[in-house]
Amino acid sequence: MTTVLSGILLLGAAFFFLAGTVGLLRFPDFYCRLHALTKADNLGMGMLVVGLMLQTPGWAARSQLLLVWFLVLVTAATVCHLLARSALHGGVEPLKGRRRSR
Amino acid sequence: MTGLTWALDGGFALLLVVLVTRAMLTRDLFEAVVLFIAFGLTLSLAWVRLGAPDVALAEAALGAGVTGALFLNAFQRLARASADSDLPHAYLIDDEPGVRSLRLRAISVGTAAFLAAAFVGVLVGIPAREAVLAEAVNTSLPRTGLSNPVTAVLLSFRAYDTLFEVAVLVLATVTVWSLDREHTPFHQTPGPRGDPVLEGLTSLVVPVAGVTAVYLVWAGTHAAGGAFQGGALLAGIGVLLAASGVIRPGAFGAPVIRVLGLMGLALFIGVGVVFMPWTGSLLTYPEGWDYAITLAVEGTLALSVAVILVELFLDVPAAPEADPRFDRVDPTGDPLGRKLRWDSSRTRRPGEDG
Repeated sequence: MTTVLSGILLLGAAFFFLAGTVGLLRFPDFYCRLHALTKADNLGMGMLVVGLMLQTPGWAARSQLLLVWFLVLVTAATVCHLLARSALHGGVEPLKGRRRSR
Repeated sequence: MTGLTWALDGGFALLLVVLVTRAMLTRDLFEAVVLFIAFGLTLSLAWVRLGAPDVALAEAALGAGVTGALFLNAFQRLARASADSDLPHAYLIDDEPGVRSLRLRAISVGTAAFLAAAFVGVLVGIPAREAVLAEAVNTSLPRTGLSNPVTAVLLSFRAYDTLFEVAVLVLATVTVWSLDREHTPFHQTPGPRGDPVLEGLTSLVVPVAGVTAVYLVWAGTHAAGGAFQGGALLAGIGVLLAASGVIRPGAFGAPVIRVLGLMGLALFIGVGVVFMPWTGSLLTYPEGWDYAITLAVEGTLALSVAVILVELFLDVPAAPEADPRFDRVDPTGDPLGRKLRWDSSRTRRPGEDG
């Protein structure tokens, strides 16, 4: 039961990482790509950590995984903010309206 | 299951080759840097798969992290320097078309092929002695009081290697110190503006990273860890503090920085020499002292490595002013002497009205 649940969570994590990467490659402008990457990866990371916690024996190792998740979450959010701010100050225009089809 | 393992390891090996090939062949310097960082992280995972967590930690922290940050720093300065001047954009490398470039490529491909063949030949020629070496290490391990064989090799059995590694790092820093620092932008402009989010992250991450760094240095005596891994983490703290404006370059006087940076090497040489009258040779410690000496040397080294890395990150001199006598000569000086692409749309030519 635990293994099945863990497997589902890990597969879900893989899906969100994949979705984030596809978004990074396919989204139209810098801010959309940043959004896709950080948001999807955060969710993927969370599912990954919970999935691994189910398989890890002992609370010491589990709390370490939780700490890793927390640190990655905080760092990713900050990096996203810094990149977006730096791009905005550097004059990267956000895309407005519909993208013209090629 | 073995099929899956093979697929995973094969995937890593293939990815490494693809990443390093693209990093070397791309003409965009920024792309090359990003690929290099990706290569370092993949290599670190490959070390984990090979069962070498010590090397994996060092590769992730130093190979990908610190080196990547230094490359990005250098790239940014190159880009800024070429945007501020009449010079061609230094971040796009373009080989001069023609015979010379072809010959150059033939020479480098030939040399690389020869070195690879020689390396494979040497590898094949080595008799299977690693089992003997591992046994020698394991039998001598109890004498040192250390329980991590990697640390015992690095700081006791083969301390020479580590000593010279540190000496190379110190040499690089001394070279940076001796360069002209008048034009360093960091000394001319105040530090970056404070960002509340970055400050929040700093106040959260720095204590955690500090504890982890101390743990890594101490863990080196019995598990994966050590001076370089801990030092790289401390350096990360330093860079974060500098980026968030908590410490400014020049906040500590040059003497303080220099003493801190040289302390590790000095202590290493010191303990290597001081026991010579009793043990008879350099870097040989008296029986039972290895644990204490290793911990002291590693701790001091970690601090020195951190200070040196932060120095290298913050204090890299900018490109010198363009010399009018060398019109359009690139001052950043590509060591291979390649021509840099002249992007006329983005640069002003001398004599033209801007």
